[in-house]
Amino acid sequence: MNVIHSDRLSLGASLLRWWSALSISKRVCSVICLLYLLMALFGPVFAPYGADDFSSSSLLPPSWEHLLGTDEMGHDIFSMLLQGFRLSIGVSLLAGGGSTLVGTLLAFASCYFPRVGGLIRHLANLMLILPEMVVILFVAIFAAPTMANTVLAIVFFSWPRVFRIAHAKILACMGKNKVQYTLLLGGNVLDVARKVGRDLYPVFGTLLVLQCNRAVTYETTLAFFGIGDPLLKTWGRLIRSALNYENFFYDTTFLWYLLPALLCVVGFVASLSILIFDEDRIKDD
Amino acid sequence: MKRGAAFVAKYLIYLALIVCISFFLPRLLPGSPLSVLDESTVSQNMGASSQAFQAYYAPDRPLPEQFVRYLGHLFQGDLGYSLTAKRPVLEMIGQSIGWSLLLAGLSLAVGIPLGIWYGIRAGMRENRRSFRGVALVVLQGIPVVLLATVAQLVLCYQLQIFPKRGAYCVGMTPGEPGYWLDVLAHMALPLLIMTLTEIPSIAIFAYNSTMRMKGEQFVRMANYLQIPQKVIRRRYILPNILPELLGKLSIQCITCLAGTLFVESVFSYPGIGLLLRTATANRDYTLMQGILLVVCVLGLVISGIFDLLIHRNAEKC
Repeated sequence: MNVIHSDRLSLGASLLRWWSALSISKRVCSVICLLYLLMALFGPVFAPYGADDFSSSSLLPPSWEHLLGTDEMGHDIFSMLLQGFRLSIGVSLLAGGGSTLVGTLLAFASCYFPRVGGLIRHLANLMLILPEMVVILFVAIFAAPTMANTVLAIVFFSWPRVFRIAHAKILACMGKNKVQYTLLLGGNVLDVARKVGRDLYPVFGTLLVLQCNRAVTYETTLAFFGIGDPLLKTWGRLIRSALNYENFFYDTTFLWYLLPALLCVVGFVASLSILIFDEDRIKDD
Repeated sequence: MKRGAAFVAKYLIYLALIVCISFFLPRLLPGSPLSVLDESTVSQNMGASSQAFQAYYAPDRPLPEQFVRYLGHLFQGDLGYSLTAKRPVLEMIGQSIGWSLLLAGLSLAVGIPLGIWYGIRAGMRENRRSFRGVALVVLQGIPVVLLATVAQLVLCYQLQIFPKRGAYCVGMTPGEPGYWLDVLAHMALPLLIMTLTEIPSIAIFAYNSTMRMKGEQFVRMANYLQIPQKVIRRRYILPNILPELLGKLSIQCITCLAGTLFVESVFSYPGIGLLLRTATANRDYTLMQGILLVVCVLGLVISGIFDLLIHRNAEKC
C-alpha cells in the first residue's frame, strides 16, 4: 500500500519556507510590520506621559522633556503618537480581519449553497457599485461616535471586495477532484471547508493584509472628517487635530505636530503594500 | 430587446435598493436621531429638534408612513432643507455638482489614457524593473486626504506656487476676462492630485494584462515579423485587453468619484466635497442624505454606462 504523504508542514517549517522565498525589500517590509506590531503591543509602556494628561503647557516645541512638543491642550504629542500605534493598528487589524472573515465566510456559503449564493452575489455587486467611503461616512455620521461603530461600519462595507475575489477562488477550488470526492462521499460542510482552506490559505492571507491596509486608509479618512471617538487618539485623529490648529499653514508647527503621525500612517500603509506586492503578477484591486 | 429590458430592470432594482438603503440605514443605526431601535436619543440631538427636521422626517410617525412620505418627497424632487444652510438640499447640490463633475471628468480624461499608455508600454519592455511597480503600489496605498493635505501645505502655502483654495479668486465672475485662466490655475493642483492617485491602479492593471498578452501566439508572430512596437501596442495588445480593462475602469471611476469628494474637501473646491465637509462638521443630516443619494445614483449611472460599453465591445468582437 502506498503511504500517502501529508502535504502539511509544521508552522515553523512553513514560516521558514515563506521567509526564504522573500526578496530583500519584502524582508525589510515584514520586519517593519513586525516592529509596528511590537510598538502597538508595548509602545505605550514607554510613554513619558499619559496620553490623556494635558497638564503641560500648550504648543511647546520639541525638547528633551517633550520629544515632539505639546499640542494646544497640553498633551504630550510623543505619548499620543505611541498610543496611536496601539489604536490605529488595533482598528486596522479588527476591521481588516473582520471584513476578511465575513467576506470569506459569505463566499464559502454562497459556493456551497448556490441559490442563496446568487442573492448574496447580487447584493455584493450592488455594494461594489456604491462608493464605499461615502457610505461609510454616511453611516458614521448617523451612528454614535464610538470606535466600535467605526470598525463595524468599515467591516460592513468592505466585505464585498473580499467576497468577489474569494468567491472566484473558492468556486475554482470546489471544482477540483478532491472536493468533489468529499461531496460524493457525503462529507459535511466542515470537511469541504477544511479541504478548501488548506489550498487557499495563502490567498486569504493576502486578502487579510489588503483589507488591513484599506482599513487604515478608511479610518484615517474618517478621522480627517472628524468622525470617530474624539477621545481615542488614533493617528488620523492626531492629524486632524494638527490641521485644526489655526496657524497650521503659516508656521513650522506642522513639522512636529503633523509630520510624525503622517509618517507613521504612510510607513504602515507602504510596508503593507510592498509586502503583498508580487513582481510577477502585481496584485490589483 | 429582451436583454435591453433585463438591463433596465436590473438598474431599476438597484435604484430601488439604494432608496431603501438610504431610508433604512439611518433608522437602524444605534445613536442615530432617527433611530427606531432606541427612542431615547431622538430628543437629545439638537439638530433633530428643529422644525425643518421634524417636517421632513416626521420621526414620531409609524415607520411605513415615514417610508411613504420619503418616497413622496423623492418623486417631487424634494430632498429637504439643509439644517445648517437653511436652503433646499437639491439647490445646493445642483450648484456644486457641476464643479465636481468637471474635476472628476478631467482627471479621468487625463488619468486613464496616461495609465493605459504607461502600463502597456512598460509591459512590452523586456526589463521588468522599469515599471517601478513598488512606487506605484505605494502611491496607490496612501490615503488621498493625506496626499492632498501635504500638497496643499507644501505647494500652496509654504512655496506659494499654486492658488491656495477655491475654484476661482473671490469676486471674479464668469464674464470677466481672465476668469477661465483663473479657474484653470485653481484647478491645477487638485487635478494633479486626482490624476496621481488614479494612474497607479490603471497602470498596474494594464501592465498585468499586457504581460499576459505578450505570450500569445499572435503577438509573438508580430514580433517575429518585425512589426513596429507602436503598431503592436495599439492594434494587437490594446483591443485585446479592452474587455477586462473596461470592467476595471468601471470600478476605478467610482473610486475616482469618492476621491474627488475628498480632494475637494481639502482644497475647499466648491463641489460636492465641500458640501460633504460642512455636512460632516455640523452633523447636517438632510444634506448628508441628499449627498449620499446623489453620489450613489451617479455611481449607478457610471456603472450602467460601462456595462453598455462592455456589451458593445463584446458584440463587436
